[in-house]
Amino acid sequence: MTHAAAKYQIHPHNAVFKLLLLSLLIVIFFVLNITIGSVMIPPGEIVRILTGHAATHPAWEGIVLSARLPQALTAMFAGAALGVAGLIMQTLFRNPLAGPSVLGISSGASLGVAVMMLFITMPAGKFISISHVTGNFGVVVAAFAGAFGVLLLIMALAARFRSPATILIIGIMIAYAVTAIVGILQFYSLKEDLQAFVIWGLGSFANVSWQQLAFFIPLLIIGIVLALLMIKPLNALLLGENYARNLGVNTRRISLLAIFTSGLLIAVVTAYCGPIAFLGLAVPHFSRALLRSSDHLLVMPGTLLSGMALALFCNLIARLPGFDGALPINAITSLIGAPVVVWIILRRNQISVS
Amino acid sequence: MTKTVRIFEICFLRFICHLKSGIRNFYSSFRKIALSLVLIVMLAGCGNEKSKSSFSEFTAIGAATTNPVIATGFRITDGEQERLLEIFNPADTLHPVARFYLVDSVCAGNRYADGITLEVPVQRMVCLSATHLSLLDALDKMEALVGVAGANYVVSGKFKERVANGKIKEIGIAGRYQLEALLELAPQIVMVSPQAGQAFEPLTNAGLTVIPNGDFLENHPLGRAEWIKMMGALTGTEKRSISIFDSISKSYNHLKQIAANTPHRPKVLAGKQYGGFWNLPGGKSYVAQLLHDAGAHYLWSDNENTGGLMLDFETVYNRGLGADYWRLLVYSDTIYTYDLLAREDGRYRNFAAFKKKQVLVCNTRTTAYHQQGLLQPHILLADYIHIFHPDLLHDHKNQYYHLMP
Repeated sequence: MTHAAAKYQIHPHNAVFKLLLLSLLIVIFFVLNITIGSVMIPPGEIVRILTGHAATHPAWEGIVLSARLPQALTAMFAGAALGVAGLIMQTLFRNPLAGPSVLGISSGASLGVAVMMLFITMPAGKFISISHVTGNFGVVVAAFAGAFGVLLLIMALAARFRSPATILIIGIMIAYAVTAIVGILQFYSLKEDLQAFVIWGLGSFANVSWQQLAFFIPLLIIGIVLALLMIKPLNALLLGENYARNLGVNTRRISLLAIFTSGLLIAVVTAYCGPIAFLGLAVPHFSRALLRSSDHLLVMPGTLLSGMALALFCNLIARLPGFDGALPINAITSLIGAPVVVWIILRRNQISVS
Repeated sequence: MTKTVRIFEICFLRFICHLKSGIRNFYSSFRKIALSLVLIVMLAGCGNEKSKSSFSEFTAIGAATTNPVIATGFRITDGEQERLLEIFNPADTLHPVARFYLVDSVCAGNRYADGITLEVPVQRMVCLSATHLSLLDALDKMEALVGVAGANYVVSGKFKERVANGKIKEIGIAGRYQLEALLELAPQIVMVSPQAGQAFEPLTNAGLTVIPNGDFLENHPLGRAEWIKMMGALTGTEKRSISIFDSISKSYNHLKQIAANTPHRPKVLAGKQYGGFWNLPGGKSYVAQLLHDAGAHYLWSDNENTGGLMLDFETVYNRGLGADYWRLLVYSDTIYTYDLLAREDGRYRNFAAFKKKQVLVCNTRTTAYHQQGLLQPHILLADYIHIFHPDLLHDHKNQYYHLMP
């Protein structure tokens, strides 16, 4: 405890400076996301478009306003949400490897989408027909149903079994089972359906339209606010469940709330963007290493901001001119995320949540 | 004492006797076996001396009548008493991926070191891809077909009838096969569409002859149709396959001539988004070729890709916003409309082709595009010309592509 308590006190000013730096990075990356893409648009034109003037080339207006802007916003919020969800889960399960895919929630979302794309729509490629009727919304609803199905199961189990380790193991088992069902569905499905599902599985920030952002952002803000409200009890949980209880924390309620919050964040992001790999796992570690702290008062905003910055950075790399935007976002997040975690382990010679 | 010795002696002698007769019996049965083996070998060899010792030599005489003119994925060469069918990857026409020696009868005794000997005409064939059924149908050789993967394809009345009679068995669904059901049919050949990620080793390991049909890899619409000649060579309908292809290519080239002189080439956009990427045909793909031959300007014709492209929204938006026409391939139970298209992504409304109501669509559920489109490039071309240049083909009734209602 003394060790952890000592860590709380380390250079708060330094940390605030770093958080400000992160915010600056977000602004820079956001601007770069708007200005750089596979189509070259002069910066002056972008300013004109953003200030409501007509661009010289009619297509540019659409590119900036209805392609780059929503995509950058999606990336920003998805990165923040996944990072925060990962942080909550790592603290709750006291496991540095906890992340969105571990509890089976993103697998649940995959199952929902797989059932819709491959199974319900059985005779030859009806997914495409369904998406005619509902647009992307069908996928979103299916992913949400799948993610929340698994989430409710986990919460029911969490209410029954106290130990986070048990929940973690059950979550991993659920993830395996769900992955297996998805595999079976894939095996018996048609080529056209399968391709649509595989592409969804690659993940993308480009699928969320302005109308969908009207759901996406508020839902994520609810989840993030819930997470921010949990900073104190999460800090208590870091010291162990018994300490937390002695400090007057209702650990059971907090566990349920934490699972719900992280589940909500993951479900929303996966539903709209597909399973985004690695950000949820890597961002909290990045944030702890950067701030040299495990105090949620610092790490939570740190994770929020570095999640935004990292997602924007990945989205920028995936859309660099020359690739024609054809790099799947998951390839980039893993390529950047994996070295981050390795670097942290090498630097600290260990990996931990506290 | 002597008595026991005597008994032993008798026993020993008997034992030797048994041993002798045993050896004799064994020797005679061995001779019988050896003799029959020799007989079998002789019979199998049909008295041809070459086959007993070594492989036959193939001496090419010249290109067969069925050798393709446009298709690059296969080649047929005449030999003295056999024909050589080679299948290529269009990207590498030097090294064949498969070689088949087509002989009138396996009993002619030809065995070749570098290929599979196949007796033609093939009597028992399995097709794992729906497109190849229409080849058999056009050649009137449906009776050579014994198995398909997925029997719900719309091919012809004859096909349906034979499926109903049980003469054509369903050995899988949607391109996937059940190995045991397939083996039970004992087909001479299994024709497949060799696509990445599909393994046909289980078939070849089980001793089946797999013939890859790469028609879909051809970059020219006529090249795709020309694969009917390979089916002709396999089923003994060479003449018919040649005349079918010649008539297709004649009407295709005729239509191409009509469209070639048009002064105005409308700009065409193609494809739409799936999962955040815009899928569209490459600039050297057969779709691009068809659009070009129909007197249109495909906006990605400068691209060198022969397959499909995956681009992000802004790239396509930048180039395709002002396109005159927009070509789509959809799979829809209902009639595909502008409303459905806009519901997929509201940004589609901004495209000029959408505003001008010049989106042409082929619904692969209600048309036989995947089953028969391969053999009807001339009809696809006429459909395009009729849409892009309404004043050119007054009498044509569109079969595959329609302007969206």
